[in-house]
Amino acid sequence: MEDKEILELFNARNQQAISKTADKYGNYCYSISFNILANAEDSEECVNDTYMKAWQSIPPDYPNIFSAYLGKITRNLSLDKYRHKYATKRGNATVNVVFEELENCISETKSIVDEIELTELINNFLKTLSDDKCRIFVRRYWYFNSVKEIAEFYGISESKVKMTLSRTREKFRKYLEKAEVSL
Amino acid sequence: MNTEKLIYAIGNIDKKYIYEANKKTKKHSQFLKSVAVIAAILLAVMFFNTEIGVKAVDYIKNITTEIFESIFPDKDIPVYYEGTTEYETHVAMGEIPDEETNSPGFSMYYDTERYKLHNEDGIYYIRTKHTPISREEIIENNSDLLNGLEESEKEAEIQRLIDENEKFYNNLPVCEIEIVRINETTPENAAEIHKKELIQEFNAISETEKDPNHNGVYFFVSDGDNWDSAMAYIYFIDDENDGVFRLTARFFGEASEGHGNRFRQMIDTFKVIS
Repeated sequence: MEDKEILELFNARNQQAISKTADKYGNYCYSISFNILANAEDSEECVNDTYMKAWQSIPPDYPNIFSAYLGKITRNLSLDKYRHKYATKRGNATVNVVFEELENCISETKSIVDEIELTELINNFLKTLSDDKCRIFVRRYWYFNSVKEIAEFYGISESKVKMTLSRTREKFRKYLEKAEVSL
Repeated sequence: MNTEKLIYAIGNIDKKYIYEANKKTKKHSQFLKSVAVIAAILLAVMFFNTEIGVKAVDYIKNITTEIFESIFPDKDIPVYYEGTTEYETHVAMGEIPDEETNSPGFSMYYDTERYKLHNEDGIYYIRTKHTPISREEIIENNSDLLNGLEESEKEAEIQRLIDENEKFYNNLPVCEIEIVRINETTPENAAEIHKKELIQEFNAISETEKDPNHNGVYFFVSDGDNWDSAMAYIYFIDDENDGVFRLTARFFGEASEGHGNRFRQMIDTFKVIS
């Protein structure tokens, strides 16, 4: 079923919208959640909560890219759960590594930006990257994919992924530094 | 806490990036690649004189980039610089053959990290990307000069150095590859005619030599031996359709080892699609 038709079901408050969304994007949302939580039960719960949030938000929302809209909800719910669950202990190894990698991109600087400004800065940074580098960056830091998963997904070597990520992080660090970002 | 803020901010990036990253761009099978190309060419051949054909040709133009990505996946190309070799990822650009204008196509790999592709009135240019020097670099490179200054003087001096640097960059001779197609000529003829056009512009023009990598010839021009003297390698490659592709790699003295070398290595990857 086309996204447009599913969204029409949401607009018509037809509960089939949920099952059709699950048919089409269930696995996608689950994989996003599982990348973060590494726990089947928690991930399923987040995916169900995603459908519920979408049901509550559409309408008035009418997403242009439905998959990304759902993915974003799942990601946020999963991160919230991750934060709650692992507040005092180490959680999923990939997520920990991702956190560490990004921690090194933040420097001690002057001005303070809010999340919206920061997102805008990141969007502008992504514009400076080639398509390939942008995709790899997003798969790592948005989808929380491991290096191996990214390499398999794009059919490239793990060493290329590692090198690309390392160079992009360095560029990102300099970019944030230049923008004098403090979080 | 800070990292979390960054993680959540990344979560809000433009949805197009999320969508694009979820597309498998590299693992097209050879069969699908061939089908895409054959379908595109057949469409052009069958319909180019009809209304549907015109739309089909437009469509083909739009999907050219996708086809190029499929047929010519990114490649790690050896780049020789000051005695060392580094493999750098290059991306394919070019045009598929156009039946409407009876023009052959071409492909060439270029380094998207350093260069940007432009199309101006049908002429392709691969030009250096301009990355302005950062304030931090200015401070680092001029620490001796800046350390002895008052805060207000220091700020003024930093700004002056930034402006001076930008002006310096803007005054440098251009570094680019230009790709032009010339109808109804041969590489040798086109080279001789072009040499005559360049006599006024350059004081040294080399002999025409056979291009070892293509069916064509090339020569070298320069206007001196200074660091900023304009130079160019000019290639004339048979387009297999009674015409020639002329590729001009322009740079200047100081950039001959860097951009000059890179340009020639990119030109080595040039292929005619007839």
